[in-house]
Amino acid sequence: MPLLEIRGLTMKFGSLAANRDVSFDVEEGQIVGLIGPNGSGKTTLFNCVSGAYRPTAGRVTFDGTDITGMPMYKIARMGLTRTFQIVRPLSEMTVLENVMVGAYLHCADRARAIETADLCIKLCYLEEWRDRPSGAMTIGNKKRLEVARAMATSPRLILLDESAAGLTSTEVNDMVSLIVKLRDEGKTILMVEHIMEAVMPISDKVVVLSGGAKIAEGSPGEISRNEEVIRAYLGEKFSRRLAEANARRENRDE
Amino acid sequence: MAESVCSRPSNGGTILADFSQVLIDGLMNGAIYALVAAGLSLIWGVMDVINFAHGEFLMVAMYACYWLGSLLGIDPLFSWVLTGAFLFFLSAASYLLVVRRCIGRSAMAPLLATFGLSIFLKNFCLNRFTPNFRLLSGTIMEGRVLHVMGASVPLPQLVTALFSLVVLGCLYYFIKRTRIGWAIQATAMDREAAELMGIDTGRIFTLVFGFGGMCVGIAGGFMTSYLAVFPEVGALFSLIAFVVVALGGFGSIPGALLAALLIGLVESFAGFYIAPVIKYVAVFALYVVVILIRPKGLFGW
Amino acid sequence: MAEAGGAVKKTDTEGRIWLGLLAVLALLAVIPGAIGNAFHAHVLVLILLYASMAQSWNILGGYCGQISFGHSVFFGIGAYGAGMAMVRYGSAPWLGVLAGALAASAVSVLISWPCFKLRGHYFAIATFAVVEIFGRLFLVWDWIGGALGLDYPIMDDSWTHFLWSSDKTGYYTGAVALFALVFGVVRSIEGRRLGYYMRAVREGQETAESLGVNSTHVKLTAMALSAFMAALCGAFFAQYNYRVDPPMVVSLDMSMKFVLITILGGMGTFWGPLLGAAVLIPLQEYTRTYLASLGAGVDQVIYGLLIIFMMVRQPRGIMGFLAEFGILGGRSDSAGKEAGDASP
Repeated sequence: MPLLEIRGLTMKFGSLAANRDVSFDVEEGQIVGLIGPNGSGKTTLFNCVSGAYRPTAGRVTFDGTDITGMPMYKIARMGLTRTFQIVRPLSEMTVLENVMVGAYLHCADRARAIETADLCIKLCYLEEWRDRPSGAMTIGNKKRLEVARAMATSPRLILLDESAAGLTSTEVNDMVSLIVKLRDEGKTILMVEHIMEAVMPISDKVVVLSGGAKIAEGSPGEISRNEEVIRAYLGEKFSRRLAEANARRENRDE
Repeated sequence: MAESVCSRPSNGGTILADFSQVLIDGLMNGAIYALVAAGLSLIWGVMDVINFAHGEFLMVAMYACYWLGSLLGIDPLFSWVLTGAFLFFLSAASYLLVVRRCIGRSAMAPLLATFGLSIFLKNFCLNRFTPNFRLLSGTIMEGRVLHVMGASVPLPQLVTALFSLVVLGCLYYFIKRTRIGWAIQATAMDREAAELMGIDTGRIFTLVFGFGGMCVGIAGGFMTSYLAVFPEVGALFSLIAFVVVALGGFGSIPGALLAALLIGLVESFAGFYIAPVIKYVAVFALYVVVILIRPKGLFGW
Repeated sequence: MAEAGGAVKKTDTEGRIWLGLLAVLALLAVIPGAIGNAFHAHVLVLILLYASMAQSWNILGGYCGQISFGHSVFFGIGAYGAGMAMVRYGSAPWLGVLAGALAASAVSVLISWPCFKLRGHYFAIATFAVVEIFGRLFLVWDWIGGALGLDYPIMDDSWTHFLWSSDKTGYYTGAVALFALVFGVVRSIEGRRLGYYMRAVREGQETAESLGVNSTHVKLTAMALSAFMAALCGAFFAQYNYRVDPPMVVSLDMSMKFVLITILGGMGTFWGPLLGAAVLIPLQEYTRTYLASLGAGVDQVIYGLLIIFMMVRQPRGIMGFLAEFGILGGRSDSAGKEAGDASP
C-alpha cells in the first residue's frame, strides 16, 4: 500500500479549476518530484494534501486513512508535514524556539523537545544560528529552518514546497544533499521544484502537472524524454529562448 | 446625553403616532450617526487606522460651537462652517504630529496613540471647562417643533439630520468625481501603486484625516443646537461610529449611511418597545451577531 | 560544542527569570517595614494589582497575539463574584471568587469562540461591543444590585473576610500573593509547550497549524487562563474598595488599563507588565494628589500624553527602551530580539 494516495483530486476556485482529476501515489521511502509550469496547480495540490484547502472533489489517503478536508494540524499530527514556498519563520522566536514548536508535537517535556530540536538543527546545518532570531537570517537559512521545523515533528512524509527556489547554486547543492539525507533517515518526500538540477538527479519518480491536470508520471529518465512534457514544460523554455534568439538576429539584420 | 437625542412622545398618542414618532426619531438619529461615522470610515478605509479620538473631535467641535455661540453670539446655523474648518486643521495636525509617526510600526500603535489623544482631549476639556453640561440657549431654531403624522419633530434635529445627508452627498460626490477623490481611492486600494503613479500619499493621508475631522466638525456644530456639551459627550458617539463603520464596510459612504440608519432605527425601536436601557445593548448585540455571520460587515466586500 | 554552550546559556536564562521573580518577591516582603505612610502603601498595592491585571492580559495579548479590549468584562465578573458572596450571602468572599473566576473563564470562551474568527480591527471592535453589552446588562440586572452596585456591610478585619479597614498590611500581603500567583503561572507557562504554542500562533497561525498546533484550542486556552486571572484581580479590586458597581469595573477605560499598562511596559515580555504598572500607577496617583491644585483631570492629561509619546517613540514599551539602550541586551526573550533586529 502506498503511503500517500491521491485519487481524482479536483480543486476549483469559482469557475477556475486549479487542479483537475489528479491521481498519483507516493511510496514509502521515495523521493517524488512534482514539476510543471507556473500556474499548473502544484502549490494548490500541496494545499489540498496538507489540509490548507478542502478539495472540491477527490480523495487523499495517508497511510490508509482518508485525510481529505481534515484540518492541517490533525494531518500534521498523523505524520504529514509541509514547508512553505514563501518562507514563514516565526520571526520573533529564535531558531531553536522555532524548531521546538515542531518538536513539542510528540512530547510535552522541555528537555526532550530541546534535544529533538537540536538534532534537527544539526541535520539542517543551522547550529551557528541556534539562538539567533529567525527573522534576521538569509533566505537560504530560512529555507533550511522550514525543513528543520518540519523534521522536528517526526513526520513520515514531508511536502517540500520549492525548497531550492531563490537560493544560490551552493545553497541549492546543500539543499539537495539535505533532502537525500532526509530520505536516508527513512523519510518519504514529495517535493515541488522548478530547478531541474535539484529534482531530476534525486527523484525516484516525477509527476508533471500542466494546466491543473497530470500529464505524465514516471522515472526522471522517462520524463525527460516524454514528448508531451517537453512540449508543455521542459521545451517551453528552450523554444522561448530559441524565439528570442531569432528575434534578436532579425533586429540586427535590419 | 443621547436620551435627549431621542425625544420620546410625551402625549399618550395612538399606536400609529407612537410608531411614526419612533420611526422618525430613529431615522433622524441615524442620519446624524452617518455623518459622525463617515469621517471615521474614510480614515479607516483609506489608511486602515482606527481613529480612537474621533468622538473627542466631536466633543471639541461642540465646545467650539458652544463658545462661538455663547461668547460671540454666532448661531450654530452658521458656526458649523467655522467648527468644520477648525476640526479639519485639528485632525490634520493630529495626523502629522501623532498618527503619522506610529503608522507601520505595529498594527495597534495608531489605535492606542489616538486613544491617548482622546484621553488627553477629554481631560483637557474637563480641566478647562468643568464636567458640567452646557446647553446653548437662544439659538434661532430653539424650541421649534413640526408635527408630522402625529409625531412631533424638533426643528434642530430635523435640520441637523437633513444637513448630514447633504454633507454626506457632497463627500460622496467629492470622492467619486473629483481628481483628489480619485487619488484618495487609488491610495486606499494600493498605496505603493498610487505612489508609483505620482500621488503624494503623505499629503493624501493628511487630507483624509482632515476631511474625517471636518465631518465631525460639521456634525458637532449642528448638534450643539439641541445637545448639551460635556467632556464625555463623544464617547458614546464614537462607539456607535465604530459599529456603523464595521457594519457598513469600511471606506464605504453609502454603506455607512445604511448601517447608521439601521442602527438609529434599532436603537429607537428597542428603546421604545422594549426598554430604554436596552437600546444600546440591542445596537451592540446586533453588531456582534451580524459580524459573526458576515465578518466584513453588511455592505462590506 | 556550540550546542552544549547554548544549552547551558538557555538554562541559565530560564533560571535567571525565576531568580528575578524571587528577588522581587523578597524585596516586596521587606518593603512594608520600611514605609509607614499609608498612601505609599496604597500606591504599592495598586502597582501590584495593576501589574497582575496587565500580566493576565499579557498571556492572551502579548504571548498569544490576540488583542482584546474586553478584559474589563472578566475583571467585572470576578469583582461581582466576590461582591455577591460578601453582600448577598454575607459570608467570606472565597467561594465567590472561585465561582467568579470560573464564570469569567466560561464567558470568555463563549465570547471568543466566534470572535477569534475575526481579524485585526474587527476583532478589536467586537470586543468593544462586548464590553458595552455587558456593562449595560450589569446596570439593569437587579439580582446583582443594578446601577447602585453592591456596598459591603461593616465587617471585622480578617483574612476570612479579606477586608481590612484600619491599615493596609493585609491588603498588601494579599496583593503580593496575587502578584506571585499570576506572575508565577505566566512564568511557568512561558517555558512550557503551551507558551511556545502561544507564541507560534502569534507569529504565524498557519505555520503553527502546519506543525500540528491546534491554534483555536491554544487561543481558547490562553483566553480562559487570562480571563480567570483577570477575574481574580477583579475580586481583589472589589474587596479593596469595599464595594462594586458596573461603571467601576466594566468599562472601556478599565479595559484599556489592561492593554496600556502592558504596552507601556512591553507586550509579550515577562517583566513588561510590572514595569508598566510601576511607572504608570505612581505617576497617576502622585500627580492626582500633588497636582490637584491644577484642577480635575490633570493626571489623565499626563497619562494621555505619555501614551502618545510611547506609541510615537517606542511601541515596544519600556522593555524596548531598555533593549535600545543596551540594558538587558543579551536576554533571550523579546528584549533580545529587539537587539537582534537592530544589529544586522
